Amino acid sequence: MKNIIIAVCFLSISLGLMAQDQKMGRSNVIEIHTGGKVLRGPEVTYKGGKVHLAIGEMGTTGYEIDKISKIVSPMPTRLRQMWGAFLAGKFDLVAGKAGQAVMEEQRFLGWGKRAAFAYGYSLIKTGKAKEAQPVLRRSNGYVRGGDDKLDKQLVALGLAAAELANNKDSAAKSQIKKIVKDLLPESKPIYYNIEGDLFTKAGDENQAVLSYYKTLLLDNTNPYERAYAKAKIQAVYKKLKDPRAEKIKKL
Amino acid sequence: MIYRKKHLYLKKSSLSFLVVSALTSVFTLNTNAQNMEDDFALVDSFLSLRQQVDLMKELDIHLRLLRERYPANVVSIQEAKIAYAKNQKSKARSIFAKIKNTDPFYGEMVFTFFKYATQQNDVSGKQDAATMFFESNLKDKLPEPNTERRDLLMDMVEIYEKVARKDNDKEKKKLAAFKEWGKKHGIEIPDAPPIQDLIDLNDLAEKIALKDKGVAADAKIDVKALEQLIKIQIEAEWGPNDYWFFKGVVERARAQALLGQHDKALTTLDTFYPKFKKMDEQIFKSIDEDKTISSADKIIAKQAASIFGGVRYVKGLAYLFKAKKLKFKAGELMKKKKKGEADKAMEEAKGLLIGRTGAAVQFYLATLKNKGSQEAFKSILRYDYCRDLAKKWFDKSMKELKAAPLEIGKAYYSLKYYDKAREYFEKYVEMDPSAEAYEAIYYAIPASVKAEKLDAVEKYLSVLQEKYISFNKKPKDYFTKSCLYLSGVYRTKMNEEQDAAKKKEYDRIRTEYYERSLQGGGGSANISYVLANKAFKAAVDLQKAKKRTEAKVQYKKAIDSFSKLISKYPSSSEAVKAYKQMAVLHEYFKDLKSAGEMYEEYLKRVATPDVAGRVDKAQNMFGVVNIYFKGEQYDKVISSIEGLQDYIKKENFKTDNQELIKKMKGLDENSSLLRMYAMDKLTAPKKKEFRVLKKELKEKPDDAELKAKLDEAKKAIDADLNKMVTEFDGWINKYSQSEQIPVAMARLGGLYQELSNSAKAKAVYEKLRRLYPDHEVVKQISLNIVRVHLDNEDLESAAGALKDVKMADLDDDSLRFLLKAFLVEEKPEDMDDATLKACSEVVLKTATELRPRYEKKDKDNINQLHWTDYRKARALFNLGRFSEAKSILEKAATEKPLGPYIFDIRFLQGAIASKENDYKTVSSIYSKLMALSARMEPDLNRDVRIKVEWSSAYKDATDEALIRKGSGLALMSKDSNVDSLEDETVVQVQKAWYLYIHYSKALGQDINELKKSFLQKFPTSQYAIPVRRL
Repeated sequence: MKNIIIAVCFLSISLGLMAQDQKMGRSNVIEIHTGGKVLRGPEVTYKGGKVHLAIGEMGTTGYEIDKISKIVSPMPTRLRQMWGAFLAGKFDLVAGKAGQAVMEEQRFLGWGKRAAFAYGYSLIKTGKAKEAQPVLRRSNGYVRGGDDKLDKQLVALGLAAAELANNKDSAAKSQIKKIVKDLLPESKPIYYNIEGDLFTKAGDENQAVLSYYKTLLLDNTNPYERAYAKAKIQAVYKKLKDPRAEKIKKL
Repeated sequence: MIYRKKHLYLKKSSLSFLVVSALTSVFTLNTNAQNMEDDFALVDSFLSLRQQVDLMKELDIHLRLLRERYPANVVSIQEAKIAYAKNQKSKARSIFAKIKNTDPFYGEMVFTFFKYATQQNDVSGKQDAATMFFESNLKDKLPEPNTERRDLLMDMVEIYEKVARKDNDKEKKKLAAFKEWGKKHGIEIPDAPPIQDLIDLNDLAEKIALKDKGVAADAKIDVKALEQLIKIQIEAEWGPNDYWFFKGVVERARAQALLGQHDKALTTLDTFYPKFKKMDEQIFKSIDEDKTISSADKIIAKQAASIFGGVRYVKGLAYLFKAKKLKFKAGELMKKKKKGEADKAMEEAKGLLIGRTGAAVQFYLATLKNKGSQEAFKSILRYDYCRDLAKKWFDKSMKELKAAPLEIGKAYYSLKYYDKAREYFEKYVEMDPSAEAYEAIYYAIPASVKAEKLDAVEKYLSVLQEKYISFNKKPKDYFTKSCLYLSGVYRTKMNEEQDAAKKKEYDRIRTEYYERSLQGGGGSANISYVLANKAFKAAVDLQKAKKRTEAKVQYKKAIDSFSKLISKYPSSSEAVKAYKQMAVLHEYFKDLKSAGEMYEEYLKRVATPDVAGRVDKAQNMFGVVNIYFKGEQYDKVISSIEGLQDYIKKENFKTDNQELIKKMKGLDENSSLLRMYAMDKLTAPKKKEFRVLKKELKEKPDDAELKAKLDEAKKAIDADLNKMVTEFDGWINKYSQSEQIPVAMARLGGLYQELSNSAKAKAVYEKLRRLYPDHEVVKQISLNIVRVHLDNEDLESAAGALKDVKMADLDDDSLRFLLKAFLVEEKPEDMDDATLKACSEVVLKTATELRPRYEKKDKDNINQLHWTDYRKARALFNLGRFSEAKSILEKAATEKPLGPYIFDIRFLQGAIASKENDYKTVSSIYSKLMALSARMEPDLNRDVRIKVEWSSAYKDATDEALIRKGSGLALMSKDSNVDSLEDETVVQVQKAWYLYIHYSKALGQDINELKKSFLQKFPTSQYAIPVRRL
């Protein structure tokens, strides 16, 4: 029952957002990149093992998944709503059936990895790290989207977070090492918080605090991760009876 | 169009612009890829948050990490930024300047340097950075338009133009090259005001003419150059709105006045008067049109910008010089006895100087109507000058300027008239507190220092402290600043002084000012740390010099200061260091428990981001192990070593630094050795238990149960010993190159001896002799088993083992060791008579062997001989051979009545007299000792000891008067302040308590409360058992 309410909730907000998109004149053109060609249309759907692109009045054209190199499209409304909830730290909501449904829906439409990350990371945050791992691993096979570099980094971070939650610290370390060289702004807060958690577990609170500060002071993309970093810094200061624990609240 | 909206960058990392070019090179340099952009941005964030929350500790740790990740120069750029943030401008400049122009990060450094110098309003820094840019290859590659770097470059252009213009090169090659660069890159170089040369030359000429401070005595006005510039100005083209032209006219008139063409100067100004008025109207109009300026500011701006500021000032100068000329003329006329003409000239001079439109009035008007202008500022001094001349020439007192004394003082200060400046600042001392007075008193201090009136500063400092400490302290804490400034003044004096006594005095004053800076409530963790550390060093130095009482005072002071620092600045990096310093100090002063606690606190907080930090942490962890070992907490030794080994296993210690590798190797070796020794020590209680059982069995030889227990205990000990044999054997094989091998082998031999395996012991010792013939332990192999028993606290067995040792075969050091190890000064409660006898016999034998050797070696070394004599006498006393002891002691006391052992000798004589019930002699001995002590330098420790020893002489007395005497002496010592006493004396105080309770009991008093108090105060005292038994 609860899941139905959440799904309805998603849907009603989605309709609102769609209307807003139209008002703001956002581009709704979807590009399918296949075999060196770029095909454009207003709508894309997945049905019967093929991706169908609506091409004006001419109807739809279906494409085999393995022929598609990537699909570039604006973030779908339902995913945008899910992403907003994710950034706000409402992991219970994202980790529910509705979140899973968005992920399933986007698997072959370009946003699958992003949705899988949001869903998988939320599973980890709600104590289901073991369930999250296959979700995240599978997403590597989904059709690429417009920002595949970011999607891959996020999935790698999700896997690292899962390893960390399962107390496999060295596996978590090797996961984040893979992406450290070229971190994108959206990946950084998650990366530095995982790094901080790893230092904390290793007993090096000084260095952990530095990692959390990188999230708290340098990021402007992810409110949840910033709040998480702040709480972690406060916890360390409280443990050391450091009076700055109070002052940090104001940052 | 240049993009100059700087505020847009404020929310971004101030270093983000540096990163684009740097990333590629850094990632190739650094295999451990790290995100340099974020690392540096974090530095900026920490610095920008400084006012909200002090993150310097984190910054310190972060810097250490950066040092490991990036090249040294990149890190030094960050360090320079931090120095700027701390307002250490010259330090920042020197760090930046160290980076060479061949360095790949040179460009980043220059832009960062310029940016931070601008933020900190550091003119020299800005000039240095701009010069670095334009005088290196950087100038050939311009930053992209619409970037922050481009904005910075444009600011640099402005700064460098001034630098190039001031260049001493007559051909102005630098300026020409700069302009050429501007042309090439399409960047407009702002022209200097066309009259700048004239202004500069006029300024110099004016200083020479009025003999201002800072001008060489033989400096002369460059007349030709001035005339040339006047000509240029006259011939210049101009229009009615040409501001620089009219300014030039004023400067032309100033030049004429300086060249003695006074009337010409005045005519020039009069001719242009209507044009000046029109120009002023134009200026005022443009000010009025500026909507960004408030009405109040517009009034100030108009006053400062008006052409008439200069006109008034130059008129004043012209009248002043003319008056001076007339005064000189009058003097000449007087010499020629033409009084009438002289008087006329003087009258004219008077009019020019102080007449209704004279020089003084012109200067006065400039200060009043052109506030904020350069001319108004200078007019303050020139008016004062006119006042002085009026008094001198005409005995005429003129009223003071209406300008605030602070303003006048500052004017004098800026022209280096420090005495005069001080006079004006002084006026504020008695005034009620105000922002102006606060500023004036603050200025009075450097003015006094520069006027070499150091005695005066105290008054100003006191005013700052008493009147202003809570007044307007923020954001300007002038009291703290002044204290630090004065501390710096005396530091310079100290460094320059050659005389040791004066140097010391300056050091004292410097420290006092430093300490005083904390009284303002401002201060800093750094200041507190420096002061605490000073006490730390003093404590260690005094202790080394054996000035124990003074050392203890400094020790307490240092601990107190470090503790206060920690509570006031708990988050500072200094607080972390303070924990370590306290640990070191406690350890040095043998408070091992506190040392351990402090080390633990330090280790909790210490930063370990880099390998050096981790090695340091590991070493400190080993320091804690050592403390536990010294404190005989062997179980803690083992658990701490396990913790250390876990830490070493867990962390990454990979490094190419040979020094760090060596340290880690030593740590591994020593910690495993110490672990073995601790395990060895932990077997001691079983051995003790075995001895007790053995003794009991001697008394009950047929007790089967006891016998079984003894067999069981023996088995357990043998198992332990065999385990230790394996451990030592393993260690010797693993660390075959260790310096500790001989010591470990000696212990292995000892273990075999304990196991009664003499063959194996012999084999180990032979190998030891063969491999390390010169090592200290080899010389004492014969005493090895004795040492083993001593380590097991089994004195009886140790003495027994010596039966087979021939004293004559032992070297001097071994004999000395035996004398120390077996001497019993006061029989412990649990020692039986047989053991006392055995030990004393060893001492007797040893001393008898050693004394002739010492005598043969150096018969004049009386102290060495008496050291042996005293021990021999003590052994004889313990063996009840009083008369022999007495004759040795008497001889020693006669030979050197004030020798270092005289007190020990007299105490023993007193003890003998007491045993012989000769209380008259007891009284005589101690009375003389008290008299002797009174003649010596006061020493609380010595006084306590004399009284306690004296008191103990009556312990076995039965006469009530004697008991009361003993009780009185004990009473005098028992309540001494133990905090100010040495550890040995604290034991004497405990003994005083014991004696006092003993005497109280003998006098039939209730001792329950006394016993309770004692046991609460000294629960672990060696007198706790005797007190309980009373």
